Amino acid sequence: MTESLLDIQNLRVSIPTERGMLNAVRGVDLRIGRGETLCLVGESGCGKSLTATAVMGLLPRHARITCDRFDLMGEDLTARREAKLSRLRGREVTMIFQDPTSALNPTLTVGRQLTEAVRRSEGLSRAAAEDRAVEMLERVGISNPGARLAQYPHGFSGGQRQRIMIASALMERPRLLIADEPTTALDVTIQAQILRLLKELQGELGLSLLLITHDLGVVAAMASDVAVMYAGRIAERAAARDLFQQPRHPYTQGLLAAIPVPGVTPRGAPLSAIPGRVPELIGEMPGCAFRERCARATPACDRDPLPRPGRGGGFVECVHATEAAR
Amino acid sequence: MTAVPMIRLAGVSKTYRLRRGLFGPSQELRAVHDLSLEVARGETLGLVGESGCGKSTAVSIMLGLLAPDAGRVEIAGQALDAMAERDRVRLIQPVFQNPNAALNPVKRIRSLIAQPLKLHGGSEIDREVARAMEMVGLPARLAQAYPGELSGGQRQRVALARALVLKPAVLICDEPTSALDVSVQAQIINLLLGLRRELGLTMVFVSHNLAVVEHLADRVAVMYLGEKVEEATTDALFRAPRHPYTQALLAATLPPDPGRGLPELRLGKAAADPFALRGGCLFAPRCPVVEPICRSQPQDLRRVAEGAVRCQRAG
Repeated sequence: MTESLLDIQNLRVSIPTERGMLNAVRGVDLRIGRGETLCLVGESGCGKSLTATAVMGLLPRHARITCDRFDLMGEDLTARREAKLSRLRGREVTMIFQDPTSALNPTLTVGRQLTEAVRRSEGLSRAAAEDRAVEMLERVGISNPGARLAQYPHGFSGGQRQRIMIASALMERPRLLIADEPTTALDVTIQAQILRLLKELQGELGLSLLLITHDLGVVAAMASDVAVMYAGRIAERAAARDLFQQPRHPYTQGLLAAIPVPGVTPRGAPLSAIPGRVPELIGEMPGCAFRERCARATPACDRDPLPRPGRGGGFVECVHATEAAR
Repeated sequence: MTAVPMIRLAGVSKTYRLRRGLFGPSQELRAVHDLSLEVARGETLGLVGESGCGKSTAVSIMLGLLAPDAGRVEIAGQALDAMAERDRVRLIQPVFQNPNAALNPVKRIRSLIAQPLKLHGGSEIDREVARAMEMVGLPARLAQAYPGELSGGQRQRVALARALVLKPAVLICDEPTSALDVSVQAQIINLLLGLRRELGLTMVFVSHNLAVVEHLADRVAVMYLGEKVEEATTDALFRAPRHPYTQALLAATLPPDPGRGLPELRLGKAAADPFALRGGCLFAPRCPVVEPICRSQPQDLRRVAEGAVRCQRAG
């Protein structure tokens, strides 16, 4: 693996609820190399969005967050994380969301929203900041960007607003972009264009990307590395090619088998569904969290599974995991 | 002699008048234009296309929830607009994307599933509800539960049980698995496959997920800005799509295969604009193989070997 841009160890996020402590993220290690794309994939409630929000330092106030290590660009943020993150946020680390309408202020022009932060942080003049905004809008494929700076978000389509949010996230030339389901609400033809754009910008700016998605097709197209989350932990981490060719965790195998693939899955044949449902993460949960849904479960699964190493820094947390290829 | 189709739409159109902006001029939005579809008894038709293509309007028209401005809708050979509601709901039932919105949160599961039966004054309500719950794989103990106590997959099973309790011949599924997680989606697809086989259901399956449509449908109709641009057997459509839009749609669908990379669609930067000037082919502004004539001359739907396509250039 290349030099780490982000290195987090044993991240835990707990949220007090009426029914007890919700342990949503239960010891996650996260490493992203420079220029790499790590995809965090999993089903709803697995903790992938909370993990990303914790990296941004944007968790709600009542959430409890702990970790053993939190390095960003070689800087140790373990102590006084919140204060240090708020200094880096926007400049070195930025985030885009599934719904651009929630991230853009409807009462401010696009130009104002794009230039405000960079004028403050870099002390750019209005003209210089607008020049950069025009350049970024051009890069994300908004036509006639100079004139459109004066427009409000409602004058743009959903796909265009998503592009504007990406432009806005990249205005301060960050090193790490966190994208939480950035194309889930978009049509597939627009999705393909936005993902291409992200990949191009990443190459040009040397950006590291933490991409959160539930869509294994998006993962296959974008990821250099994949972390599969289940019930607040990373069940398996591997290079993208290894994960799709030889998934080792029964959950990863189940996920991949559950999606129909045209030309591969026989039409109309039953799909291999994973029985049951995701466990609730209230209170302590000893043992493997997947064992109740797992066909390979044995009494050995009642103990916490230890991570077993795989190729290229990958690992799998399952005592019955398929052996790694040599 | 051909059998009477279970569903027949002939030249169906629906136009909305919308105002652009608070004081803007009013404009026509053609949600569905001159749509003709036939679904044979026991057949599953997939209806695909992106947002604004008119597939949800088409669904509302098929269900009799929305009256078309023009054209005819027939279910099992009878004109839908001449049918009494109680006859209609015994024949054709919907399953929608979001079971949370479709299920009243303060009603118990038993009463939610029994609701259609009560309209019909059925006598053996308990037995019918139990039968429907068993059919969709819901444990009997959940009859007394509220929707909030159920998982997303279980709620979609409740919606299915309610749709099936009147033993309809036709099921119209509008994105029934889109709100579900991958592993749960597979459970519901398997359930639909089993029910279709056991009950001989005729189905219209609307989805933006082409892989799911490919798995379930016998035939597929592709819509773009209110028009059917291509129709073919599922095999033919996925093997050799003819319309440039269908080709782009298939190329844009990302398979779980890291070797494929990202497709180059060459669709330009513009998104589909339902208010764009008419006159030529609606797809012309984004079409990678557009010719000058495409911008001035509307394209007619023409028959081809396994179906129909609305593009003169298509092979």
